[in-house]
Amino acid sequence: MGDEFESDTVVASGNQDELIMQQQRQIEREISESTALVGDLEPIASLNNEYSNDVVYLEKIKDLASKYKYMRRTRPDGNCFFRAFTYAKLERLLDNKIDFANFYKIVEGSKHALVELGFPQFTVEDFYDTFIDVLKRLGDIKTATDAKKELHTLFNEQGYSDYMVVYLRLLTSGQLQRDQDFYSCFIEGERTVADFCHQEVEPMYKESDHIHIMAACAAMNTGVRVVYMDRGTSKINIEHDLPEGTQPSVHLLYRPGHYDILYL
Amino acid sequence: MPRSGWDPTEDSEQGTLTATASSRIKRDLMTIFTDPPPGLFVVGDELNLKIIHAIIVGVMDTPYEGGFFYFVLKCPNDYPIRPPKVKLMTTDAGNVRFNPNIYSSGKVCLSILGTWNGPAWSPAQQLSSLLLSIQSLLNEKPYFNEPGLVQEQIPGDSKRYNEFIQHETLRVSVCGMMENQCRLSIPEQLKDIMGKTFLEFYDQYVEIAKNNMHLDGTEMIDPFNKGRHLCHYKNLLLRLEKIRAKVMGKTWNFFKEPSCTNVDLKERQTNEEAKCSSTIAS
Repeated sequence: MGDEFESDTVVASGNQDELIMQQQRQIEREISESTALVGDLEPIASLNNEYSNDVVYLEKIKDLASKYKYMRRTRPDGNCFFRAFTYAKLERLLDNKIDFANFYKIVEGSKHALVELGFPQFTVEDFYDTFIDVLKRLGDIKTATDAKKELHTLFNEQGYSDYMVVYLRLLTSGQLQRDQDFYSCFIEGERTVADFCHQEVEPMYKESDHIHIMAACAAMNTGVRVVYMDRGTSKINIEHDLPEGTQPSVHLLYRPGHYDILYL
Repeated sequence: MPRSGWDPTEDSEQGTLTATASSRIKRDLMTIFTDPPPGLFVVGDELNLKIIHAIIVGVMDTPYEGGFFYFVLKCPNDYPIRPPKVKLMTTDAGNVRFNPNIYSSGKVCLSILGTWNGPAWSPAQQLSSLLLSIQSLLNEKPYFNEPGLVQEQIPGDSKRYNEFIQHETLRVSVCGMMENQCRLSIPEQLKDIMGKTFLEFYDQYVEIAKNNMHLDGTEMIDPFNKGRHLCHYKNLLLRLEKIRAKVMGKTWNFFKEPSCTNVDLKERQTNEEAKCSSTIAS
């Protein structure tokens, strides 16, 4: 039985797609193997190596270095915003027991809210349990320095690290769906907020946009400053606080397609 | 990271499941055992926790009604971060394409499996939601599953496709599966379920065969595949009666084959190909 239709049309284009996808995966694997999930602290000037002949970027690195002392790179695997954001947020919380306790309460209430929105209880529970487990482990450590070391270790263990990312993706999706009247105007095309969440927020490795950041901030009750560094001719990096007028507790560096963590 | 290749029986991923992955697979299976979705049966592989065997029974009022569609799934080491790989084994040894989205090679085209465009897999999904998505491909009018086909290319195509699928369901996924023509190594628990389900659906099978008896010996048209497919309802009715007698008399021993791994199974299938496809002219 010759699958003519299949081989002529569907499979032909399918194969090509698959080849492209395979190539893409190969590239992704190589990147993944060469970058830590969350790296060590580095001086801002370490960026110079990447742009040694690039006048525009060198100027901007100078500007960045006048405001920030350090950065921490994250693996560019499409999860970088969620990983960087969660890491930076928790790292900051470890300096203040009261803030940490308040945050713990927010997370504790979040599972129920997600289940009410229609997320399947047991899959949500899986990621929630890990998230809470990590918070507990960090909260039990006496000194902030030791807790930060543990945070760094956990975020570089793929299992924990990915589960943290998944839970924040779910929280972000939940926030978008709960406030869909507000967020729908940011979504291009015919897609509903729920469609958008299924396609762009919940799946792993999907990159984040402005709308993801807004919703993640709202879900975590956190302000974030994003410093945009790109090819634009201005000598100064554009900064954006989300939500607007907030006192940011997390600072992120955005270069096209990628987020890293910044330190004042 | 996403993996290349769709075929669970040719998956090259080595290593072991992470602790979270193995506990998640067990919980996924447990939710199906405790609250089984209609027409969906799964069992974990005895030797390898990564491998799941599933049978989807074709839903009533679809051309797949009462058919046994046997799938093999393989979970990646970091499941549920990435989705399982899935293969339909009920293909008459690679000869029948049961759906525009399920090829005769067993490949299932579904966006959550990464084998088609659209919403990707999310770790919040689970084995039951995946299998339900596959079950929903086996619907009343599968012709329109073909991307881009909102209306029939030739009027009557959808009806003709249904007639073809209905016949092949009885021939391959009911009789062929019950007789285990293609020597698939289906786990015992699933065979028991097939036996019970066969008896439940038996009257329907017979009714379908009788209602279509006037087509016996005529040629069916598969709008997606050229080639001649002859109707064999008379023969199918005889096979159904024989299978029923064996199941009722508990002499149903088509499955008393030594069990084999999925790799062996692939080779066996190739050997059996000639036998399996003998009823179809191409």
